[in-house]
Amino acid sequence: MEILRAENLCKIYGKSGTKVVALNNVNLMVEKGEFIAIVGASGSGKSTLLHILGGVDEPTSGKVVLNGKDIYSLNDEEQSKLRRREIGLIYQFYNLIPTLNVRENILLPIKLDNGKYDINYFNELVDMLDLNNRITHLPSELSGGQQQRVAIARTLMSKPSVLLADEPTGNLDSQNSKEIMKLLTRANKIYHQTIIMVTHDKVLATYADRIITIEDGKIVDDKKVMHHENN
Amino acid sequence: MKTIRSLAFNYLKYNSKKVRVIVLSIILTTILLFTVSLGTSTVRQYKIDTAKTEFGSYHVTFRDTNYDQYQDLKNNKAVKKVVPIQTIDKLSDDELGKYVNIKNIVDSEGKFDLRIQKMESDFEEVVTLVKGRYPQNDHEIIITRMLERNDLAITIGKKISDYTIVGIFQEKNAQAVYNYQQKEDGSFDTIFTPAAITKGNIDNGDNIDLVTTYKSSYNLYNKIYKDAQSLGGTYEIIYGSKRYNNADINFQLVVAYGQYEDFIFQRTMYIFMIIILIILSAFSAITIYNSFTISLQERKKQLGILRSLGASKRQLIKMLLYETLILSIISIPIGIIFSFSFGSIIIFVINKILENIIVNKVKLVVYPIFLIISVIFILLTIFLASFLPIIKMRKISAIETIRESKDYKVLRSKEDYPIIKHLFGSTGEFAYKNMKRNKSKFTTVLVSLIASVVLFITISTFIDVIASSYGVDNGREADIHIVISDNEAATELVQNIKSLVGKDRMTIIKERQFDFKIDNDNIIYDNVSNDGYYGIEIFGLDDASYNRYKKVAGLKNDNQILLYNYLENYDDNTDTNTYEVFFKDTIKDIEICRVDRKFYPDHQTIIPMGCYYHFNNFYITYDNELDWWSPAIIMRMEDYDNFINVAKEYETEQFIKDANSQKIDIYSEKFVKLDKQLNKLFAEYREKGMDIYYDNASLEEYEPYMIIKTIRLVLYIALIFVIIVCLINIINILNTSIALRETEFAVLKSVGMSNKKINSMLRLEQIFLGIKTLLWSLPLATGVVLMLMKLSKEITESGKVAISFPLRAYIISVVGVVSIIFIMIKYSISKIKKNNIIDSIRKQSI
Repeated sequence: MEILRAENLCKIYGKSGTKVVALNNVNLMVEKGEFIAIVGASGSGKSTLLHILGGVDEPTSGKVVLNGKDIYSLNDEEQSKLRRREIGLIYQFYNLIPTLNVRENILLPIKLDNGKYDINYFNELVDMLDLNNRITHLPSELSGGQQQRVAIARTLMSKPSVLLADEPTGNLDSQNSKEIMKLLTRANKIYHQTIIMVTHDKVLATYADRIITIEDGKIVDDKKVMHHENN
Repeated sequence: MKTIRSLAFNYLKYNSKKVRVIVLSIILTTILLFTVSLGTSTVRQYKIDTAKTEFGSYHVTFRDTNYDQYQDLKNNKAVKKVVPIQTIDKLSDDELGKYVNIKNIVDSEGKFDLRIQKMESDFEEVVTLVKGRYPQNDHEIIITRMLERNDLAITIGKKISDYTIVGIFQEKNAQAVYNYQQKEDGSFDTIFTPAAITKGNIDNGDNIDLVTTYKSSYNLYNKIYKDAQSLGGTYEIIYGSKRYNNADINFQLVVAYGQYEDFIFQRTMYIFMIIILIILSAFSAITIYNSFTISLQERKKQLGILRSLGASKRQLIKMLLYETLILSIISIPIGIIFSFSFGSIIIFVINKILENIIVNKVKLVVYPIFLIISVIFILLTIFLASFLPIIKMRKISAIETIRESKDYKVLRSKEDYPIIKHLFGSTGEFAYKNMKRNKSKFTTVLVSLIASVVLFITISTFIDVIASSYGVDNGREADIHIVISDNEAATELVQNIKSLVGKDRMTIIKERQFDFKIDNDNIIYDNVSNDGYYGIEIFGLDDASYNRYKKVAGLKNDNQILLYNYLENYDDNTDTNTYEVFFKDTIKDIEICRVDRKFYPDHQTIIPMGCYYHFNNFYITYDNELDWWSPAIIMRMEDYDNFINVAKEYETEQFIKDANSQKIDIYSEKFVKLDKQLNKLFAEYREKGMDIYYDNASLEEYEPYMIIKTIRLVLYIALIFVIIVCLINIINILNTSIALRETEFAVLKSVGMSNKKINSMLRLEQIFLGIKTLLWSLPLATGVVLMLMKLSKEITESGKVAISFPLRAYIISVVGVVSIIFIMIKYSISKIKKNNIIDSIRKQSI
């Protein structure tokens, strides 16, 4: 079942002389429950694509359809609501709110939506991400890996249609990176969470079901990954 | 909303250091703006209280009305109270007049007219009782304290004519003396006011005056004019204002209420106040705007995260406004409390200093409406100043804030600045380019500095305007005046006074009028008596005063005698002149060495002889100076004494005694101290039987003088606040700017730029900033100063600019800017020194 579709996406920075084409007519279709890795060299346009898919950066042309809605045809209020409810973003630098504790950070998107949250689901997530002992801590009191786990919990809490991860392990050591990847895979498997992850690490990309390679703003390769049982 | 609130709360809770700057700027804004409101209310209330005590709480007295009109006015809905008062008697008393030292209260024959008025009740509307009680029947009177003389038995329990004195009152509206009102043609209307009041019924058919108070002070002039007209009054236009012949307005009170008809001075003062308020508000707004912009710039990333998590623009604006509200709720009361405390201290000090001088104690007052207006004004300033950066922030998209791509906005700069390069070398050019590239940061500091300089110069000029409006700092002439009778102790007393006065100016004057015969054809003076004699006032001045007077009059030769005005075409080329002087009943030829004529085309140009401009002196003394419409001869004391020696043979003993009584005028800055010393001295000599009249007019000026001092103090303290705000602002910006430029400096270091070069680059950046500040602020301030000088010109009667160019303020400003720039250089260099290259570069990449 199609959940996300990008049609003829173009993104151009600058004007005439200093013009940089970050995305050049990108078309992409994502099925529900897919775990996609977007790989490419630095400056290839992979992060730009992710941000545009997540509704935080506007394309110069083209459209992004999420659950049948063209997200860039929506007004700010509707777009914000869509980001709150249907998109989850994970960044390389965690981007937690420093003045909120772990619990408040995780619940923030739901609270912004004035919504009620499922306490069992919250406990389950906290459990899964091993944050039980850190629930009242401020971000500054956590390690990098723990902060990223909070960021994942925050994203999963609102059960988004798609989870977009921008180099989620870019700032972590290899041990923590593996753990984060395992968590993302578990979320994908347990909750059938659609995940699109940007990485330049080809090994980490193999955790995904599908790898899209991007070069100079164009998709140059799009292939399925065969996983062994023990993965 | 709950989440928004909790986000706002959390931010404020965990960022107290950053928030402190905003809180401080709001507190200082509140102090600045609220103090203006507090000061205005307090001064206004003080003026009202003083006017009520000194001149009465009534608004107008309608003259020559009848009983029916009294009834009509009583029924007027706008009127609060009408007190009828009627003149019933006039006592002429020789004895009394001799001892009363009130100018013009005696007639030409030396008789004193005491007017008796009757009132039914409400005496307190017209007078304030200081001793005894109010009259209870038509045989009792209360008299003004100016008449009370214990040594002459004019006091409570004693009689004047058939009236028994039962009380002494402090006059309001100068009831004890004659009032003069100048007409446009230069002549005077005399208004008589009561000196004694008795109790009696006001009956139908009586001609009465109506002391009237209106319910509201709003639009008083129109109400008064309407009633004056309906009571049959007619008006003249005097100095552009309507003046009804039947209405004596209590101007002091009406003006204290802030009501004025065409008083340019009042209007100008209001304009000044508004200018200051606008400049203060603008300055405060800039400060708050800066602190908000800086705070938001530091939070861009956080706001971006919230946006990416789905917070809408509206939610973010709500959150930021909520934060502003919380900060305002905390800061405004603190500012108000500070303002009150500061005001209370100032008021306490003023009351302490002025304890024995001011009529009423100054009370710290804030009208509820002023409080509300100032709080609204403060809130508006805060919200306007904070809303702009918030709105700006709204435009930034989530991705930009997460990337912080626009955080350190760098503009493209022109390629070359040859003049800068020539003057300051390549480092200078680099520094100048930095300034151009980081325009917004530099502009903010520039605006803060410019605002401070303009404010400082404006306030300094404003203080001068106020001071000159009170006549305090510009040739204050009215001072201490003493008259002592001629007896053996006089010389000793004069010596004693001289030793107290010290080096300050002291003038001894003797004076008497004689009738001179002068050739008719040469004279334009038209008050010639039938037999062709002219009353000419002869003045003897001590040598120093005579020489000073001569100098001012522009005469060079020694031993001249000055013949003062109105004697045109008088032959002053002869060495001696013989005058025919008419003494009591003898005509005698008197030879006086040489007379120089000084003719003034403008008769109002008066050279002060002692300390007074006699023109300003109607109320204070009776007989010490020449009247401005009569001619006078001014001579050295030696010549005067010779003249009196001749007169001795022909005049009465009393005449000679009066002619030898000495008038001493003192001009001294230490008049308060001198007042105490002189009173002590005079008490001693009075006991010895010497008649001494003493008036210290400076004490009357002491109040405005102290008020000026206070205003000066308050304004300078406000200025210190402003400068603190400015410094906080600049340090704030410097901190942010340096934090944001750390990588730039680190990179420059890593590519081989020496610390010395970086320091010199920073130094030049700040120096350029200083130069730019002065280039902008000095012309701007000059514009404001010229405007203030123009306005000040309007408020002085002569049209002469009352204030001089505030050169001192300019020098202080330049020194101030240089010092601030120096501090900025030191601060930036010390900050940069602490930074490590790798740390700074790493910080940027995290």
